[in-house]
Amino acid sequence: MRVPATLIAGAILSTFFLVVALASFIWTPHDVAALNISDKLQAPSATYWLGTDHFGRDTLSMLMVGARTSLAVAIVAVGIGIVIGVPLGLVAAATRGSLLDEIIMRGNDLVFAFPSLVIAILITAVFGPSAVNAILAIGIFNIPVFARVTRGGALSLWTLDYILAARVAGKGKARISIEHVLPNILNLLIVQGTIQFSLGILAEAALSYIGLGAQPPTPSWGRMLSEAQTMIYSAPRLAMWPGLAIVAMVLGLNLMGDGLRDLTDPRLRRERG
Amino acid sequence: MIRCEDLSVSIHGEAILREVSIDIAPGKVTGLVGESGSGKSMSALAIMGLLPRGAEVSGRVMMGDENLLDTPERRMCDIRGNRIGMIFQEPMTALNPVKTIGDQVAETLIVHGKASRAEAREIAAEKLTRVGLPPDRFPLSRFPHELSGGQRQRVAIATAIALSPELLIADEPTTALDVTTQAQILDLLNELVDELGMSLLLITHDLAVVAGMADHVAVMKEGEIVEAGATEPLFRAMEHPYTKRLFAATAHQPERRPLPPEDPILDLTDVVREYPGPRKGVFGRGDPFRAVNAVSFQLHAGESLGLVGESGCGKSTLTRAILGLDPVQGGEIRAFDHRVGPDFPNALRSGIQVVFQDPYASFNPRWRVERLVAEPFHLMPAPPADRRERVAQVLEDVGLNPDAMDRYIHEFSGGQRQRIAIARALITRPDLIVLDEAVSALDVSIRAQILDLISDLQAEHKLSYIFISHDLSVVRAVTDRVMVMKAGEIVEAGVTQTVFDAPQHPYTRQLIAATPRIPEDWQEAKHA
Repeated sequence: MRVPATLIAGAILSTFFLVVALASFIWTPHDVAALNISDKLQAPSATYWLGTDHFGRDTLSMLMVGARTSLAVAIVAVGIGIVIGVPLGLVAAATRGSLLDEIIMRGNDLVFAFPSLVIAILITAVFGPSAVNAILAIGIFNIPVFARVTRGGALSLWTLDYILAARVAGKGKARISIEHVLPNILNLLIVQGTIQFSLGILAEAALSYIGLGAQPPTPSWGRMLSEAQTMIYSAPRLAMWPGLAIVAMVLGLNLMGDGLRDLTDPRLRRERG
Repeated sequence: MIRCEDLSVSIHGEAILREVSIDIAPGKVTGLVGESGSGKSMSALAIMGLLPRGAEVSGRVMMGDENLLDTPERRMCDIRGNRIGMIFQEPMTALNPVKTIGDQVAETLIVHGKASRAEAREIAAEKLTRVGLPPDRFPLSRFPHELSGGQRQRVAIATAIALSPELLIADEPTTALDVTTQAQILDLLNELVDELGMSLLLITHDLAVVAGMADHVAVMKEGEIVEAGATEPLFRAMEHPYTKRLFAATAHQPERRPLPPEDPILDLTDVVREYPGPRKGVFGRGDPFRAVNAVSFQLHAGESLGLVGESGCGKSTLTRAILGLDPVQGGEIRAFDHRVGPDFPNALRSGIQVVFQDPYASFNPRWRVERLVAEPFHLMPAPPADRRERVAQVLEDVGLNPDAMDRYIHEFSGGQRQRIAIARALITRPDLIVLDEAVSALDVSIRAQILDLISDLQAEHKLSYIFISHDLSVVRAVTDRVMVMKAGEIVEAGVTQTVFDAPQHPYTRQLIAATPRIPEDWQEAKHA
């Protein structure tokens, strides 16, 4: 079977950022917390590969640690969506047409109906700006996404004969959901997961940009952008680097999601022959 | 009309068709018979120039003095739908669900620039009337989902004949339809051939359909035509061993040892199964739909009971009730001195197992065969210690190598999968197996083998069967008693032979009359 080119490109980009984020735990070119006013607004050089900002902090180091922040927020937010959303979707599919199904799915509709970023701003404004509150705010809006994808995929499986065979074998709905349904919708969840992941990174950047995400001194791409904004004419590269990082990472994850979908969708697989 | 000469097709180097030569005579019906994978449909696609990507073609497809294989795509677009029409097996997916039937028929005319929009709709109304869907009863504004399978196939036919093509290719046009609907569609095709003077290439797996319809027959096997000729002489002579085998498999009658009737193991009295009616408003519901109405029968140990009926008659609903998956709304199902229902004890559930129709949807693709076959062990308080041995044993019982248990289901063919499904049903040593259209999706030769297996197992394990099918010939071959079901009720029941030889109820007579068969006197030579 041929691996789609989008998947390879996406995987390379995403892995690159993952490696950079992990590397930042053990090594960064400079200390991101160290202010070095004498070296402020330096152009890229041998010492500061990507230059420094108005406090003299090394841009590359901040980008590396910022990748860590972005990934951490997105991973936990997607995790919240999966851990709560998938079981809800499985229960809704197993009891389709019942009152419970209605309650779960209408609850989802309710959450969907709110403009997610605005509510995230509200949550972080009420409970105080912090990385944890940003994660919660983004995570809550992932729940209905995963619940819907799960229910949709599960519903079509519930009509298949092997589910009926499992019922004839005396298995209950919970057991069938875990043994038969979940493994067969895993591909849907992986694809949705990558897409939600990239949306999570965007949302985190947006929240940090308006100062409601990770708080200083923790570096974050969104805040680097907002701090660079005032110097957009004198030092445009300060806005360019975090901007590029966000674009590249979201692009990589989206490509990977597309590629995974192509790879796992049997209909598309057949067309490729 | 169209002549294929040494048509060969290979896809990614694998030969699909080998030097196929067919003559499709003008105004005649040519039958193309073969089992799945024999290359029947691929031949049709080659004629239409619709082969999948990666296909390499050689030979010639002559239409008049034009070789369709050399014809540029633009010109082929003019030919398709205009001079050659095509209808497919699955009426559910052959129509566009978001377009009205009038628009779909008119589309062919408009695409080929043969009529203005208004004229096209007029012609569409005319063609739909011709295929039995007059606009006063079936307005052009109907959508496909508002029609039954047979009616959709009529729309597909109307679309195909909109421009009065010289050739109509029908690829398994009636396989997805009930017998009575099949008979009507075949009659319609026959009339159209006579009326319009067009040729019909009828592709089917069913020898009996070809016998009743075709002037010429070609039998295909593994991409080659093994035998071809005028229908009647071909059936009388059957020179090629494959044709003989195919024929024998169609009429296959497994050997059955009658068991002395014993105690009833399953007892249904006035069973009623209703579905909640459609929602009306926020809380209201319409009248419930009664899918099974006052059904009563008994099944004895070691007996095979047939249940015959067309789609939507309630067969599957009844099956689910017997399996204790759904509650009944009236009457009672008793098995092993217990009431069957959703709270039927697991220990007794292991006595009733089931085999489904679709060998491809019957198994979780992510499990190995061992785990699949052993799934019903869940009914026991604890899985037996010799689980692997018992799986190996049942796999052997159904004629598979026990090594199969470490493989995944996609490695098996349809027939093998159905054997695995039977193994799964056998593993708890049940008394009753419900065979829900268990051989309907299989090729005739595989079907014959599975039928043999089923009757061998019955003798060996003293099984009772409920054999549900829409195929009368199969039911006739393997059951002791038969029940005919229509609209949720059993309209006739009795000893199989008696019911088939002297049907009492008009519906049973209609069913039997609609079943295509090969004329008796064509077969004399073979029985001698």
